[in-house]
Amino acid sequence: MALIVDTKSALLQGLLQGEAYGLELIERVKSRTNGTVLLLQGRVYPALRELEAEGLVRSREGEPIPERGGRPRRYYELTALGRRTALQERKTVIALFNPVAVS
Amino acid sequence: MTNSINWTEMFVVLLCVLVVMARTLWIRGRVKVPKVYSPSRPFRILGEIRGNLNDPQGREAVSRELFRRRDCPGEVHLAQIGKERVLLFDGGSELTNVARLIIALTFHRLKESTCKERAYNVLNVWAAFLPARISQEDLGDYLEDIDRRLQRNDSPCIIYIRVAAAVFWTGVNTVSYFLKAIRQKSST
Repeated sequence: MALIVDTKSALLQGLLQGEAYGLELIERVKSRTNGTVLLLQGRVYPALRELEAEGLVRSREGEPIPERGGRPRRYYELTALGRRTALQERKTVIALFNPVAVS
Repeated sequence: MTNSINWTEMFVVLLCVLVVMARTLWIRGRVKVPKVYSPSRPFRILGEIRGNLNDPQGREAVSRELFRRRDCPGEVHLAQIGKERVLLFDGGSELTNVARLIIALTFHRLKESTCKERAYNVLNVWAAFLPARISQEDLGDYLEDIDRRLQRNDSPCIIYIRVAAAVFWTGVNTVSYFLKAIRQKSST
């Protein structure tokens, strides 16, 4: 069953592992969640651009690649604010689902 | 007077443009397919597989793996040899195994190259209508994904579905990209 996870949150958590480009991030999230969280390719890029506009990630262009018709990859990495936000989000979610808190 | 955007109309117009473009490129792609195709690559692969075919066990394996017949000039069988999907052409007893394999691999490469050529043609033409960032990032990733799928020998249907998805999502993202820019300008 596919889980309901916000695209932006999933991307932030994926970027905690290090710099990546869009397609790589989708695969990273998929493999980390054993295929339960599947990010839609069409939704990922606007989310990444929004995160960049919010100052949570920064991007840089890579080298042009023939398989992409000579287009360069765009690599994203977390800014200091983005890292703090991602870690805070992780703590919050863990606390939310903590069974101790329920009892 | 209302400034709201009629999304349904916009979607219908976008869909019509896409259908017309896809149809034009499809027809163009069909016309461009060469009748005779003999690149050096099939012959290099031929060298690798020839040993197996001359071996009785190899021939048996090939015939065992024949699984479907296709309507093509002459009798053609679709077969799986290891990771390779090939079309075996039955041209009569006068054809040697090597000649059959040349024809088979030529058919296979022709089919694969046509699919790749069509996909790349459609997306490269579509890229002209997109902003540079979306063309490079979104479309670039779709092209990379399609290339990986072609390497994995995915069916042409899957490739065409991916092309349609790429066109649809990059179109939607372009519209929202421009709308956001317009809203930002009007608010400042």
